[in-house]
Amino acid sequence: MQQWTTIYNTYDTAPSIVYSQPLNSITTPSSSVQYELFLKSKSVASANIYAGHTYKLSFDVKGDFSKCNLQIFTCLNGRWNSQNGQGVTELGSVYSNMSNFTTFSASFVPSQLYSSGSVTTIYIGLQFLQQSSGSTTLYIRNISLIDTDDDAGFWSTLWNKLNDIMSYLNGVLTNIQNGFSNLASWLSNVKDGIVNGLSTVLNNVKTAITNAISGIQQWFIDLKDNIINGLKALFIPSDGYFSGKMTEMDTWLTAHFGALYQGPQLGVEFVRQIFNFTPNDNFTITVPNYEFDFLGEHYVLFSGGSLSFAFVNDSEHPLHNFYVFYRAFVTIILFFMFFAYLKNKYLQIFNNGVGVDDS
Amino acid sequence: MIIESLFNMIISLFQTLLNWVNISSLPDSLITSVHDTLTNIINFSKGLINLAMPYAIAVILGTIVLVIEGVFLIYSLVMWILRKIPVVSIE
Repeated sequence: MQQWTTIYNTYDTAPSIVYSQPLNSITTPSSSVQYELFLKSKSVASANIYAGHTYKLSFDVKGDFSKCNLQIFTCLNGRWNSQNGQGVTELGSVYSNMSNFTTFSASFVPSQLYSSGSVTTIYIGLQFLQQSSGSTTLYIRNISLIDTDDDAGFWSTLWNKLNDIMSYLNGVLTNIQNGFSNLASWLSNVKDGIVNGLSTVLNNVKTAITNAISGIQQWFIDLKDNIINGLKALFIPSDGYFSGKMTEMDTWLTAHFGALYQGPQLGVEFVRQIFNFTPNDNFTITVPNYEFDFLGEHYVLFSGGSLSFAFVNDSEHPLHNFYVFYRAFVTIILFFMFFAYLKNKYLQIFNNGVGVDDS
Repeated sequence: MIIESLFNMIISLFQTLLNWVNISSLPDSLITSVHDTLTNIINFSKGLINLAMPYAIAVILGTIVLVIEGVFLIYSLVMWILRKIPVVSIE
């Protein structure tokens, strides 16, 4: 069912009109002329006009005049042509004194010509002829347009009313539900706010306590480090102290002990040479010259040279395997000697020398 | 600081007591000659030792032996001193 309950409900709301006068009140010219007023509904795009359907138009009119000829027309999509009457449906004529609102009701059936296509606007035309002089004002209200072919009848109307009531009640319940929902949401927000606030306070307290404990802990750590560093500074010399003192003593001893100190210096140098030796695999031995000058004469005890024993690394040489065996044997013997030495030294220290092998 | 002060005091005492010693150095030519001669002998000896046995192992084991002997020497010296003290009663 399609029902246009209201196009123009009250004269308090003004739809657009073709004529430039306010819709709810129209002041007619003072002269006695035939005057036409066209009202146009605003939004009927969603409600099509169907050809062949019977539409019931009703409205209330009040005119401050003694007598007039009121004719009512309708037209669709602005196809108004009052001259040839196309698209115009004359709803009726009224001759009366309407000092009070009078309800007019008339039905019309749109023709096939003007109902085809999309109907977006329906016009209601009021034509009246004032037959007395002087201006007057016309009031219109409660305009309604109902497709009576889609009228649901009594039971359907009742059902629709019930539906409307149920919808209203549903809306009320929905509003109540929304109210409770909003209340619950507000209470939840309040709860969350309280919980979050308490949580924030607890976290702040916890953080403050943690920071205080950390500060106290760090203070003790710093105190411990400072004490340790102080003790270390008391007993551990600074970096480079001993090397500096060694250099200082070396200079002083060289200056004051001269030849006596040069002997130990040479000894240290030779020890360093012994420990810094990097053995080569070529087994090359450099034999120095043994020569000296005495009483103006130059004597050569032994002429130096270089002796190479690299052949022991040559796997083809007959002595190679023998030398490998010899090196392994000597290595083992060295370790045996070393462990024997350790054992004897242990007995010498912890057993008063009892059991020491002196052989 | 304590160790440094102790060392400085000992060194200062040592230098003060022996400051009067002024022994001249040997001629550089002699030192150089001795140094070169002994260096040649050492190199020759190291070559011989390297041929006769693994030099690196011998040096490591020899170093350990020298350290032990040094520690034992210091230990013996300390014990000799302690035995001289009747109160300690170390035999």
